Amino acid sequence: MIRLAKDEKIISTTRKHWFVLVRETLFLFFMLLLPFSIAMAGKILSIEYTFEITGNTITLFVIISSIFLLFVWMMFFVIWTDYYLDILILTNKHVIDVEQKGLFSRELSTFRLDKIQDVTAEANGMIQTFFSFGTIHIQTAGEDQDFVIRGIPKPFEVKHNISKQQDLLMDELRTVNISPESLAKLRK
Amino acid sequence: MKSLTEISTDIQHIIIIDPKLVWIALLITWIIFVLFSAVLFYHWFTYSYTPKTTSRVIKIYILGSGILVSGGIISAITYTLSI
Repeated sequence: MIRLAKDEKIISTTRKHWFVLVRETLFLFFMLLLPFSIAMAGKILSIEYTFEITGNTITLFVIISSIFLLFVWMMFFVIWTDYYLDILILTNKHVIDVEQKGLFSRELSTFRLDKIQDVTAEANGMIQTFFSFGTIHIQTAGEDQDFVIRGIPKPFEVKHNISKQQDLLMDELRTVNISPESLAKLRK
Repeated sequence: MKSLTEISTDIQHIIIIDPKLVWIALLITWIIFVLFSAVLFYHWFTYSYTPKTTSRVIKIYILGSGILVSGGIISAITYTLSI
């Protein structure tokens, strides 16, 4: 879990766009159909095999298929976990990006809003424009390279929210809060 | 009557899959499945942000896996009995 400072609150959380998950799991869908396609092809083409397997061949086919499908099933959840644990959190002080890379690698990046110099949002191509997702580039002070977050839904809205929070924080930092006691001391 | 050569050719085309092999293959699959599931559950419980989604996914994962594992067991028993 992510730990926040005492006076820090979450403004918004953004997960990657669903299209990213669909794109990454599309090959699994075809793999899922593989055992059924083999069974159908054997029936439709009425292939005559030159060998014979003893015992109930249908059950043997079910065993092989269940093993294969169990691996496909696990693979799907590994990809889903990777997708599900990627998150962009905007607080009133920071931008936090959590990137799960496979099952054994995890990256957590935190940017102070007052240190962010530039935020750029982009949606390239027909698919990204149509499904409204894209990339966000964050340029911070002291860093040569942009920080890139891909597959973000409504990137322009996210960029607007970051800029808005940044402005609010900057206004807050500019405002000096002086207690009446301190003010009285200053006047003396 | 079939000649000896014909019989030997017939025998060459019969494949016998030992049920033991089937059970070993299933056992290896289940061990991998248990290990993978443990890693997945660890991630879901440690890093998840929405417990509602996590509990729903756990239910779907267990249900789907249960169907596939029990399908494998039933088929393996049927196959063993058919030999």
